[in-house]
Amino acid sequence: MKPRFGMARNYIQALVVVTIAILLFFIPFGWLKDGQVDFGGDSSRLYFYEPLEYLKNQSLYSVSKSGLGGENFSYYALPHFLLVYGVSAITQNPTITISVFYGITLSLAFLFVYFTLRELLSDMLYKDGSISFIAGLVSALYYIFPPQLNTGWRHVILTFYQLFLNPLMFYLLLRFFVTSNFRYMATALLVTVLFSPNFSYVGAPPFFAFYPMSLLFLFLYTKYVKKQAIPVKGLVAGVALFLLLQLFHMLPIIRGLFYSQSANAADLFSAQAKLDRGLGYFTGIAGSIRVSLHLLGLPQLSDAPWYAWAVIVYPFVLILGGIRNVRKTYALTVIFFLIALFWVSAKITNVGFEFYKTLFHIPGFSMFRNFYGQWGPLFLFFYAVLLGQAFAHIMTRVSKRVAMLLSLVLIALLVIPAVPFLRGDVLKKGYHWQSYKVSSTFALDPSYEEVLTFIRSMPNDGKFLILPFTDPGYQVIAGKDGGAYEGPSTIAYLTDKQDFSGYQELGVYKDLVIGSVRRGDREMFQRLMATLGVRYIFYNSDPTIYDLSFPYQPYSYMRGFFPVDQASYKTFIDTLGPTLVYSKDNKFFIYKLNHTQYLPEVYVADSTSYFDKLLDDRTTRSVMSLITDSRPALFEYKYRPQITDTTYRVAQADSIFLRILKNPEPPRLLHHSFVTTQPGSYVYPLIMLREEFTLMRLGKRSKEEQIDRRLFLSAKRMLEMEKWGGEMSADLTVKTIEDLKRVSNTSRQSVIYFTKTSNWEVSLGRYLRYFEEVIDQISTEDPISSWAISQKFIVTEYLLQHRSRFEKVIPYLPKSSEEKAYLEDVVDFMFNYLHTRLGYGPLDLSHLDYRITYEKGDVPHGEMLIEDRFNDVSDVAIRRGGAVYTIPPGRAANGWYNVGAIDTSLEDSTEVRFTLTRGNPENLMDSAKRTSISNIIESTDSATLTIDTSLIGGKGGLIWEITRWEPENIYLLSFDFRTKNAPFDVRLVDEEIKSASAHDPRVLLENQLATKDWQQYQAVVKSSSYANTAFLQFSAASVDVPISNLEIRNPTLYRIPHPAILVREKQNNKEIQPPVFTVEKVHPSFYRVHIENPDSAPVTLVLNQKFSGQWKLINPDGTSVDDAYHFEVNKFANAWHIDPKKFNDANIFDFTIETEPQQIFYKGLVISTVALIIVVYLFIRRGHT
Amino acid sequence: MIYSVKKVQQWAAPLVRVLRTNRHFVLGLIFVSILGDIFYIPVSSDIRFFGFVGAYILGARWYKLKSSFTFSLCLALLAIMYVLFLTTNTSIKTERAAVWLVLFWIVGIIQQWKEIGKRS
Repeated sequence: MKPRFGMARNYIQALVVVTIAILLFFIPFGWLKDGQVDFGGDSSRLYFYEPLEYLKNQSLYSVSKSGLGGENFSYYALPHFLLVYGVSAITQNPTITISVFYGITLSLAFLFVYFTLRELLSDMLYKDGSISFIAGLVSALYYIFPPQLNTGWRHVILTFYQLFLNPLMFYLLLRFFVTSNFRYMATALLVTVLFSPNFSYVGAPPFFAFYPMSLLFLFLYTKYVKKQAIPVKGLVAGVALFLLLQLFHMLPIIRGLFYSQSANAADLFSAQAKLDRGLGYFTGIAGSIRVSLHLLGLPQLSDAPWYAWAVIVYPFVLILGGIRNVRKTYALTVIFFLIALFWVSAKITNVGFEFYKTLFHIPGFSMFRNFYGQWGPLFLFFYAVLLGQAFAHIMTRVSKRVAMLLSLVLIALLVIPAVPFLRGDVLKKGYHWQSYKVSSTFALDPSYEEVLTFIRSMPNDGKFLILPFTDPGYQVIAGKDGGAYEGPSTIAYLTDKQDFSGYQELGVYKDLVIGSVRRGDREMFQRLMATLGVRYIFYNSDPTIYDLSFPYQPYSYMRGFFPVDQASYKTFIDTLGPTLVYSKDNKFFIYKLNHTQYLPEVYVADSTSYFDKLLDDRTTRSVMSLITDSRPALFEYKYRPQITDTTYRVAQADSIFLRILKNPEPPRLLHHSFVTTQPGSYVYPLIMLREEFTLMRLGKRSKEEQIDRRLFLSAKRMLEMEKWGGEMSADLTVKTIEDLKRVSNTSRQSVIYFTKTSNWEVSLGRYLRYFEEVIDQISTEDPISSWAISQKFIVTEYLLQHRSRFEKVIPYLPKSSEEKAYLEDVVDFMFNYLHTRLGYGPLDLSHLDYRITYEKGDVPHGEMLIEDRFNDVSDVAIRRGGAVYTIPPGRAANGWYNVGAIDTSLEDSTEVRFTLTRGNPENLMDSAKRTSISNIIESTDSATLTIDTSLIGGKGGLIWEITRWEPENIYLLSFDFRTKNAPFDVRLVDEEIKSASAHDPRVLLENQLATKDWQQYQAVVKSSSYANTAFLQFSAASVDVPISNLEIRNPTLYRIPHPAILVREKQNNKEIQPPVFTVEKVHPSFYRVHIENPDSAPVTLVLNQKFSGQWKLINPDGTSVDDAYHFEVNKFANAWHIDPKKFNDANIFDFTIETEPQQIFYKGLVISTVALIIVVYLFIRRGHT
Repeated sequence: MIYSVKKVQQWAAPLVRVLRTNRHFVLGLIFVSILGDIFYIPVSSDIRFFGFVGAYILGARWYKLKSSFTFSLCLALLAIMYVLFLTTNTSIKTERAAVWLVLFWIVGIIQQWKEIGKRS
């Protein structure tokens, strides 16, 4: 009777488990209404909409369809997309397909955690299996309804299936280890094929987080708990078959690591990836992750849920379950649980944290930078499995009634908080981030589906620009009845067209493009679009996807450049003068741009130019105006072909102004020193000794380092006097600078003798000595050299800053008025002396030095071109040696003046130097409009202003409005000043005034100054990229200082144009007959090219896709053209320089352009298919290994 | 060298004897020190972490403590962590208690593994 009863109980238990699993499968079917989908997010999930289109456009070829193109190794998803296609072919409805996959995830996750626990508890001698049944339920329910909430169910990514794959694979492998039955292994292998993304490069973080630890557990479990032999042969066969099954996507990636500019190689091996993106990100977030929350099973970085008070029960069970527990499985699981806790929290002891940080030096470990997210599933799995085991043990120690009660409490605690999740709130109440409550679930708009159909029917003769333009390369499409899609471009993912939908996709052209839009430079915008191969604009005029609904993400940054609302967008597009090709519902528009210089995907260049330096954005803009050929190929820097039509030598400005720019990055930041030891403390002399020792050791270092260290120490002394000046004694013995110098000379000895460490004179003496030594270092160089001038500028900046701080602190010292007056005098003559000794005078504006460097023997010759950056060129000239080259009168052609041929011949040299001279520049302060708050200006004479600086902030104080301000220019500001008793603020701000209410101010410089004697202030600034006006402001330093008088004289502001200068050498003036050229695009990774070149001149074949070593030009015999002829042109595209001489003087060429990974993929696919057949065979035929 | 080690052993023997016979005092002192570390010391220190854990391991050997005792200590630390969590959220004190709990859990599980080994 007993066995029969036990069998019935087993059936009931099985029935309960299966019923729960079925319920869980069907629960997600209530989350989405019919027709609704939850597409969007980084993974787009558009493969649920049209799996085959998605597969064809995103997964089948090695070229990205977004932006400039580039590597796209997404082969891994092919089997999975075929699985989705199979399911969707049955369901015929994306909503149901999505629900099926959600259901599978929930149901299988539950089932296999349950099975795993039953298996792990199988060694317990329970009478009827009820305990392991209840423990299994608790464990499985904890796994699918953990207290840390079911995040990740919205906009799920492809590797999300790890939620059920982890327990499924663990269970299959566990059974394989325990039974040695290869069917389990074969089943696991087949699963890896169906859910291939989880076993691919993109699935590396979840894969490496879970499987190595799990296999180690299984190994130890089998060997030391079950005391069985490891099925080594089956394991080796399984691993080998796994590698072969995944070979089709792994091979191209492995090969891709060796290509030039490989993104994957950079991800793995570059210091930037390992340390900046990896370690930097890790240390950035590690501080916010809490061990306690992990132990309690609560979510990180978010508010605690309402039931947080109750979750103590789980760790309590985990630990309580260990008391008098003699099961090795429990002990082993705790060990793995604690290891997982270390991985997921990182902060268990300082040693542990430091160890974790060192791991980021291992190539690839940066994939765990988001460590709490990546290791989370492993931790959750072991938490659930341990909870079940611990609970089972507790149940064996209590009465049946108590066990039942405990079980009910635990299950209720798990299920009740999960009710909102079961209701589908995670999807139903999900809004797009930063949107105005726009739901992320929606029904597809049939009109937009028609648009996609139309785009597919269009010829593939140009790329698309998607408007409104986003930051990350997203597209927003409103749903039929509310909600919206926000994710990667549907045009790139679901049609065969390539597009640009966001800033990040524009690559090196991103700032040029958005800059041209902001400046309203339509011509440049068109030119850039032509270069990028953009022929069509897709514009979605729906206000619900831009204006108020999405005020920030995904448009945050782009709103500053592109039109701010849909009405302005329409105007913007109209100004481009495009032709309307298609419109739908007066909402979706497709335009064709009418530019004549559009660059097709593959072309033969009609002109080739080489620039010997990398061009910055501003120069690139000017160069694009200079080169007017319709199909150019611009080679830059290291990509130099054997022959080009024109070579440009780029002259580099050797300008003092660029060395001492205060913005955007000053040449050397003022040291933000800190001090912790007060002068006078017993350890202070030791610190002084250490500093002296450091200075001694610097003896052989560079001058910059020596200067920098002394400036750093000077800042420390000043900070000490600022912080503890009230407690420092003053001897009142220093009357002249000579007295202070004497103290200065003995300051070193005073350290040695440990005397007078807390003394103003000694500290000031030390301070003076540092600067004297700095000036000595500078004096060893030619005083008019740009190095010496720039160092003097930096030191002057220090002196001005420090002086103002002394002026600010001394009046408030708790000392007698006599002592304060004395200290003020000492500080005054010390700074006056240092300024005089430094001898920093006005900067020379009349000339700018340039130089062209070249390799020996490659002397530049040709005509000189100067960029048009002047208001008046009548007094601008180029001087070289005794020769003077003036700019011919008239307007610049295409933005460049042609000075004509200049003599650059020099023997045994690698450098040509010349000087650009100009007349006296205009003082912009003369035309500046002076405004002020009433009654604060008191004119004393025509040259000097005496200003009451009591008003501060905003536009208070004295203001000069500078109206003639130009963007991206260098300006020199200078004035003499003197204050009576308090520092003042000087501020130069420029702004782009878009409208009366829209200003975009940028502070270019902000300094606090104070001096009792006349002192000159000079600063060089660079105006912002889009500024059209500026103002100079003087105001009081703070509200705390008393009203003071400030005297200013000789205020000047000069624009210093730094034009680009090129020397152009035309090498090929011969008129040649253009080659006849045909191209056939077979698929995105394969083109057939036929060139007939009657003149047998060198040909440059351009492929307008992002440059990569993966692209190969293949000869008819199957060999690839040497990579030495493969170049980057136009800053991003591929080009092959074909010299007929290298091809037996042939004038007819037949090439194919292919990507190498595509060919490798085909080979890998064959091997993987064979492996799949073997696995299926083994699954069917093979039992035990 | 051997002579000096012997000398130290001789010198330390009475102290060890005292410590071995005052189990409650020693364990209480360790526990109070841990409480002091959690509640009164703002900066975490590995020297304290490993020092007290080392002392506890030594005590566990001397007093032949079972893993159950260590797990009971873990439960006490968990209770402290829980109270701190409810009152101060994830404060430094809560985190410190969590780390202590993890360290003692590790000690407990090692003890348990050894006990199972001996039993089998």
